[in-house]
Amino acid sequence: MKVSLNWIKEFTKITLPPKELKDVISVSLTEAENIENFGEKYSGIIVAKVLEVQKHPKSDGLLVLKLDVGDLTKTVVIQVCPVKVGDKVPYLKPGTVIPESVLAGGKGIKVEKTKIKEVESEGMIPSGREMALNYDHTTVYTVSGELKPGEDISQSLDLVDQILEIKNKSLTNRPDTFSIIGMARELAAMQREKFQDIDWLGKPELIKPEVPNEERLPIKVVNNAKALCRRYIAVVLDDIKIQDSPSWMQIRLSKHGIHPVNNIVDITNYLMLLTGQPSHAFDYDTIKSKDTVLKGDVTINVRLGKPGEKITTIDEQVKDLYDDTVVIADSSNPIGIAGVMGGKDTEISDLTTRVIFQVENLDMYNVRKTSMKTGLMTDAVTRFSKGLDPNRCESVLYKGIQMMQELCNAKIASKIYDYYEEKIESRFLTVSTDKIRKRLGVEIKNDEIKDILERLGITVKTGSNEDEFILEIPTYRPDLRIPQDIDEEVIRIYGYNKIVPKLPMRSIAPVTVDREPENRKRIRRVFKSIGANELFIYSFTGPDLYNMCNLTLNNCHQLKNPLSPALSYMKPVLLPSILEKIPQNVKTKPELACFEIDIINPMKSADEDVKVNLPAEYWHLGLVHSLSYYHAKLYLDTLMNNLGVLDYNLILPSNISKDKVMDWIKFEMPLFNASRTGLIKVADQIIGLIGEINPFTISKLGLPAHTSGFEIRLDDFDFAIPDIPRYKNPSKYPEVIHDFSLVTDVDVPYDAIVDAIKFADSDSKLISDISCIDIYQDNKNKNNKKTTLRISFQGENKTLKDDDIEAIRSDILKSVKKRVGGVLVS
Amino acid sequence: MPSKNKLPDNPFPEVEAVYESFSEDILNLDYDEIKHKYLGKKGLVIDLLCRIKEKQNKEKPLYGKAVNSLKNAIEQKINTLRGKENLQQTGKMLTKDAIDITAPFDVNIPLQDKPKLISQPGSLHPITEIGEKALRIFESMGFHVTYSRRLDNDYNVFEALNLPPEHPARDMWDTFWTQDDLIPITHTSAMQNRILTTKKVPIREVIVGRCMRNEATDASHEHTFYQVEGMYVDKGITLAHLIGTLSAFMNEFYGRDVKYRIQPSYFPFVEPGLEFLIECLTCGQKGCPFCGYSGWVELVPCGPIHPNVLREGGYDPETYTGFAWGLGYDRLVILQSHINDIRHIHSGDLKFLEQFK
Repeated sequence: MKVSLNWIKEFTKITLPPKELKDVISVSLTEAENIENFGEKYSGIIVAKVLEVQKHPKSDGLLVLKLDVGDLTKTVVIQVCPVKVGDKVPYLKPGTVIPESVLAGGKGIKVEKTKIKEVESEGMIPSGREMALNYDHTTVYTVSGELKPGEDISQSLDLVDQILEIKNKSLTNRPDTFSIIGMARELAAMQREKFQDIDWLGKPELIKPEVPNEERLPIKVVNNAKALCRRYIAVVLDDIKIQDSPSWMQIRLSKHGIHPVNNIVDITNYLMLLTGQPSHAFDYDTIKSKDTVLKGDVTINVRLGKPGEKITTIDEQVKDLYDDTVVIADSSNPIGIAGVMGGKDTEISDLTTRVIFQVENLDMYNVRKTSMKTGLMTDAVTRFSKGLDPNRCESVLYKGIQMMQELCNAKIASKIYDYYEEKIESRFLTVSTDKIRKRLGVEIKNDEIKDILERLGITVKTGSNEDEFILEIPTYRPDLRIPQDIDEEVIRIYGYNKIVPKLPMRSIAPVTVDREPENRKRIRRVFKSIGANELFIYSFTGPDLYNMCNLTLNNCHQLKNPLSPALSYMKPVLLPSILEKIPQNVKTKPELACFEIDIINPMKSADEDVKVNLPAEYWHLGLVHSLSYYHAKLYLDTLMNNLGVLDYNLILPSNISKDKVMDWIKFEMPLFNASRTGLIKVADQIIGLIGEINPFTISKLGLPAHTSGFEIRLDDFDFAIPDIPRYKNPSKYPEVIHDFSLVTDVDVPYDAIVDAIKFADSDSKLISDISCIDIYQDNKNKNNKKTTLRISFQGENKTLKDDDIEAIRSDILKSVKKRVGGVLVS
Repeated sequence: MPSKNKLPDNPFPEVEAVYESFSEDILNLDYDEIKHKYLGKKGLVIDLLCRIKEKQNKEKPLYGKAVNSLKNAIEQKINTLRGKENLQQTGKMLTKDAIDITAPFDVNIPLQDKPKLISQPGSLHPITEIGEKALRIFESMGFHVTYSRRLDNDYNVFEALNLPPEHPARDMWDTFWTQDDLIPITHTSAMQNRILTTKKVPIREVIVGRCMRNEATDASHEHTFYQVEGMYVDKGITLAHLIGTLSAFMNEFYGRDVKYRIQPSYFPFVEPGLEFLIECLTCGQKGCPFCGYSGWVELVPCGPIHPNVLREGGYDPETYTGFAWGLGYDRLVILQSHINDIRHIHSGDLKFLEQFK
């Protein structure tokens, strides 16, 4: 929305320079985007009067004009156009910048003295487009009014102005501010200046037109959409002379980004800018002639659209109408979309002599819906969809009649039809100023509160005590409904920045810190300390990636309105998205570990009704290592060790019944190479899986050959993470270290060997550490392997003697032999 | 040879021989190896095809057909093996590289090749780092930390926040919807009603979450962003408390007195609706693209909680008041680290991330 400050100045003073004004508006109402110096681009342009129009001697397409530019006469060559002797036009002497050329922010193009086909042209007469006042480029821009040749045009035409700009989408709850008068009231209040309201706006009786006794052109008005059209008021005017509106009005419209059309249309737009209330005029005669089934008087029927109905709007688009679209129709067909745009057939043309001039009040939600459905976003929609005051319809109609009488020669030809059943009255709201002060935490006196509210058009009466205010809220402020709304009015004009910040008084009771986020924090710290990098990846993913990962997104949460197919599902697991980020990084960092900790939305189960119960969400941890399985496992082992999780092991998927494996693990399993995948078990719970990525995905994503990773559902893991690792008394006695080389069948898992050793020690508890030194397989004998373990022995309360060691050694070898068929070799 | 490895209706022994060797190899070779050996440019199938010129004319069509059916059989088998079901169930092609998943390293690995942890330091994502710093401050100020859901319903995202269906202010959020009409949360305020209905006063809660809005991404816009919602509900809580709380947070976060300013705004779940701005630390208020040459950065939409929201959450607004805010903490990161392209946040690019060691 653009706001001419010159126009504002008709109602209040502007005392602040633009930059400060912009700041004050921003802190008191809404962010002011910009204040544009509108007149700058017109400096040096003067008024010229056309003295002579002649054809160019050498070209039929050109005219040679003699101009009175005040003290001198100048010759200018222009394209052929309907310019006449006596017209007043802007004159740009050589060296003047063409206004249009500075719009894009450039330096601008200067007019030069030239010879056009041997006739000297001393300057330029611009079109409306070149003047940046309208879009017309078919003829020269002419000005009306008492202007003398040689006058500075920017002074005489009110072009020296500041244009304030505010985003259309701000102030969604303030219909009143989408008008000059509303902004003027606001600016007056924030500057604490006097405000001169438009008297007729609230008191239409002041300008009530005289309606002739005899109705020359009676019409029939019916409202069949009462629920959505609260008020409809119309009149027929005849004897109309369509012409351009006067320059002052055209320029006012241009300043607000509305281009002048003709006097009737311009008046409706002018009133919309001034009051915020849109209006519309239909051509009476085209309604009459197009209404094929009409019997008797011309009919205006406010009703809902019918299935299959269409309309061609003024901008020449064919639009479908719906059964919730409010339309203005004749006795059979729609002639306009109420509150959005009129129809092409009945628009005002140069031939129009009779009009139906109408103002309506509409349901804000419905107008918004219609605008979205039809894709039509107009200045009227912007205003209607904020919820307008039905009481202004009448004043705007009266003012419009008055202006059309003055500027279009209009005569009233019918009575004024006014449908307004449920009259909206001003509301009363009782507030306690004491509570206002308490809610705001600001000491502001009753008098000041009263002053602020009165400046905003609210009538204030004191109630049963001095802190009780009874407020009469004007009907143009539908947003003021509850006392808290009044808090805002008071504080924004008082000044938010005058509030002295305070901290709430509170008890010093400790704040609970939840375990789960603390665990996530610990996991992050561990990974950071061992060279892993944390990634943040979108929650969205797509079927292409999952196909390449040998997975399918069926039954996962899919978006109705994704930005792209690659972002069309909520990710059900973490690893695919992490894998996707690996190829770009391994080029510069061949050995890397990347992890993510995030919420996932698992696939839906068959019996789940998400509309009744929100689907469960889980925190997952995923880590990918660019090298083989054993690297990923080292990261997992290190994590478990650092977190103090002791009861942890890996098992083959084939060694566990399927019903013990959670759905998400089954879901993600195909991502891995089946013969290099393990399930992660903590205590009795399977919490995730680890493995090497399958060869298909490796080749599709361009991953390093043995890329590996693991994923854990943290919600299932949290229980196992001890807050503080359990203390173990360090032994004072010396450690004895022995290496064992054990030959077993190749199929015996490493864990089983270690378990067999530990079993032997379950009573004596002499083993303090077991580490693996080597696993060897002879090329000739692939059925066996030799595992070399280094075992440390330490007594808890004594120094171990040879006998002790010998006993435990023998127990170990027996256990290994019995449990895993292992044999000691030297 | 076992009969099951025979090609049907094939009179050519050389074709049969290739199929036999394939049937053997498929148990032993990798996907890539086997594909290369049989279907590659110089593979055995092509080789067979080339030998068509050695055949007699009347034999040629039959021979061509035989090689083709061999090719199809091989392709089909490789592809099904690659398919999920087979990979999972038979895993035969892969059995030769089965490993001991419980071992610390592979067999016969030389010492220097044993897996090691990466020796360079790792990194935490800047959003994590800054988020933790912010949360630590809020915790020290008495706020309990909760994490937001990712998908939520219309009631929590809009309706409970004084945004009934068809409310035009819903346009302020470009909302994603799932097929089941769930919403990837557009703001952490979606948790407000849950907090109100499950916690007792005094409520001091901060809610951390990832939010998503349907807008195209460029250097300064992201569809995915991060918020720390704050809520305080008790008797006697004022607007001055809100400003005091946010100002105290900013001062602690930046380690000095940060200039702030309040602008009116409109959010249906607070009344009045405010925007808390801080001085632009990127340009020192001289004006830069980040602050739109205004010197101020919009950081925290906030305000006293609307009575309808309190009521919906079971609190009588005549007795209790409160305030709420939604701090965009990725904006804190951008502001503090001078990140000029917001897309780095989710790029997964280690050249960016490793700077946050």
